[in-house]
Amino acid sequence: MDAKSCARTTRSLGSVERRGSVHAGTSVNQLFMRLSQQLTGFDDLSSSLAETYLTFLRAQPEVAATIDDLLSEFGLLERVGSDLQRFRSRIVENERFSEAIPRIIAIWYTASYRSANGDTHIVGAEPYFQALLWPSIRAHTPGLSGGYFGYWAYPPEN
Amino acid sequence: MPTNGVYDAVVIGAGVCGAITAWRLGEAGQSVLLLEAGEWGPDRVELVGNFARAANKSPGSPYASVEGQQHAPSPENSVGPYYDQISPNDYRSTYERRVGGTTWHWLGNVPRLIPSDFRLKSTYGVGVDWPISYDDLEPDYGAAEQLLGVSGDHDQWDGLLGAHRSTRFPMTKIWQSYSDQKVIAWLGAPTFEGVAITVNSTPQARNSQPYDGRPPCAGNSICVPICPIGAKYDATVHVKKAMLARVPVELLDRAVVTKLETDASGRIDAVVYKTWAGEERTARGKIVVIAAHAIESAKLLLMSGGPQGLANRSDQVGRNLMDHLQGVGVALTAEPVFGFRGPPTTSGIDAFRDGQFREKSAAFRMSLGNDGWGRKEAPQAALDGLVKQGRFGTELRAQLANHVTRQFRISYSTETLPRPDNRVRLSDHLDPTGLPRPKLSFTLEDYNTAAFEHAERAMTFIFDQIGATDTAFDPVSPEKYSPAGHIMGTCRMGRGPTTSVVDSRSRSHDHPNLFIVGSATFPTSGTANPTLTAVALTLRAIPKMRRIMKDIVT
Repeated sequence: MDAKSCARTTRSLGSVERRGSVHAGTSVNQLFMRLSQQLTGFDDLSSSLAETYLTFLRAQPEVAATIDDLLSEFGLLERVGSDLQRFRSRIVENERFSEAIPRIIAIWYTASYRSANGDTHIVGAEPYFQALLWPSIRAHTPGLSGGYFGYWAYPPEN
Repeated sequence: MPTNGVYDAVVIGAGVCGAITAWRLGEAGQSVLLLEAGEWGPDRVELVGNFARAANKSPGSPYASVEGQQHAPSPENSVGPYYDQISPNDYRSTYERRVGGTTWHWLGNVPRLIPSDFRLKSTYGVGVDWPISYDDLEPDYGAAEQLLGVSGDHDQWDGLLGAHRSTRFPMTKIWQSYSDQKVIAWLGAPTFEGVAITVNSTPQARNSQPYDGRPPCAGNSICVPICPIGAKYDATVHVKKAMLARVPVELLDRAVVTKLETDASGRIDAVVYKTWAGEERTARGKIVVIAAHAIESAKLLLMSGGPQGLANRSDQVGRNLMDHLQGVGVALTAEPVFGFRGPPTTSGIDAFRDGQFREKSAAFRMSLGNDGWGRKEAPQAALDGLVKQGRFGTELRAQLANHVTRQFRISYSTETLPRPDNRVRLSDHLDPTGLPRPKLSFTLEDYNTAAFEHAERAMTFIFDQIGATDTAFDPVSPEKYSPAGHIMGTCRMGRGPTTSVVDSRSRSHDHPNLFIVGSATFPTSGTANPTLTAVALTLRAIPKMRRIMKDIVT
């Protein structure tokens, strides 16, 4: 693994999971986590939520067959060294993953999953409250303010 | 239950008007039975969880209940349609049937009607006049604001549109959002078609400080459909107070009233109801108060008595069904306004709630949104669009933020006129309990569509003034308006027993011990959210209820 990927991996694993070895863990959960970071543009993703989402996605017919291929491809890219262009062409614009990529982004941003027939459903209440759409616009998940009276009179601090 | 089996009052419907009636009478020492067709339901935390898990976050989403669909169906909770709509334009507003009623999911806006709304006919030659004036109701408005806990800016509102205020709001206003402040600064003080446009903070039944044992608003932003912390008023507040009243009110939920019966003198002497368990029972009260909201109250009267229904010498029961018809305009602001923070709205424009144009075209109230593009488009759509374009990662995140933080909407809410053919009747189609479903007729007219055009012109002007771009308006037409959830008019009040159902104290002209309270009694709709007026009228009726109860010897 090259220095750049190693640094990225170490940063994204966080202090709790940091390993001594240069070869950071390649468990599928961690692969999925790092893939999700690349896709969402968020570095600080919850590892338990990643596990929840991966388990969930593995059970959905639209993506079940391709998700492991996707993780393998991403793992390969990490090993040989990747930049944004290569990530885009090999992963995001890869026809094989055209059902999976939008759904992985959507599940992190909205905690929801859309089936082939157009039905949408929310993965769960906990994931809903951690949906990334809201921090991305410097707001809060509707229903979970954590704020004080009148915070909305000021521009966001975060 | 009183020893002779006759309550002082049987109140039908544990929504805001029924709960407040029951509480006030209980505090005055009367015995009260409060019947509610729906259930008490799960606690607030569970309801918020239901909301979180709902893919379609509609107003009814926390409250969906299979048992409720079977035993007390409502337009928000039924298998298949609940309304039987027979006219080309649907009547779209809906309600809940549960303890606490529709205030569980109301937004909490509580402007008052204005003096012209009470004299629409005399002033503009349309609609009818109320049997009371704004001044008659003004003290009750103040009392209603105390009961609900209303936050507002007294100096801004005292005298606005001719409506004076004899008391201050119980709490200072809900702070206007950052977005409001930017819009106000960008707007300046323009005039549009001769009308000066100003932005007012919106009076809301939402705590701006601890009040009545409930916390201040923390900006959870899901007022519709539920306030997670009870900072927004809902009628469970008064249901609970009623149950702890000086003479505790007996609440019986899961009890669907199926008809009222009268004795030979025309007094209501029996309230027949069926429990969810299937038992048919009868309750008796010296007085009976129907507080089942405008559609169920009319439906109950039509199911009782003979073919004409009960309390219907005027033939007005079910007629004059009104709503507020809504539309929205959206735009992108030049700088971020950071929506989705705080209540969905904290300010509005009241400039078009009155004026000579009301001779030809409906008045409307406007709201500034704090919720992006509001009902027009959820922010998830912007995400979907960017993902479809192949965006991902930090670029996706940045572009999404740049777009959504500049989303801004203005909504408008127009009055409708009372029309005899806009009405509730009984359908031949039955609900799962065997009762007739409501059959609704509702047709829009030029008075409404002219208002949509007027509002769109005003919004276009405002967007231009504030330098917003990418404006879009939901095409609004009789087929495509947005409902406000403001169901009014079906048992209107008036002086004459041949032209109205109740008098100005909400007492039936036809039955001496029958009251009908709530927005069903409104003769005109104005442009104010109806709840505060409904509560004020209920408070106005209480002294008469007490006099009648005292006079009745059983």
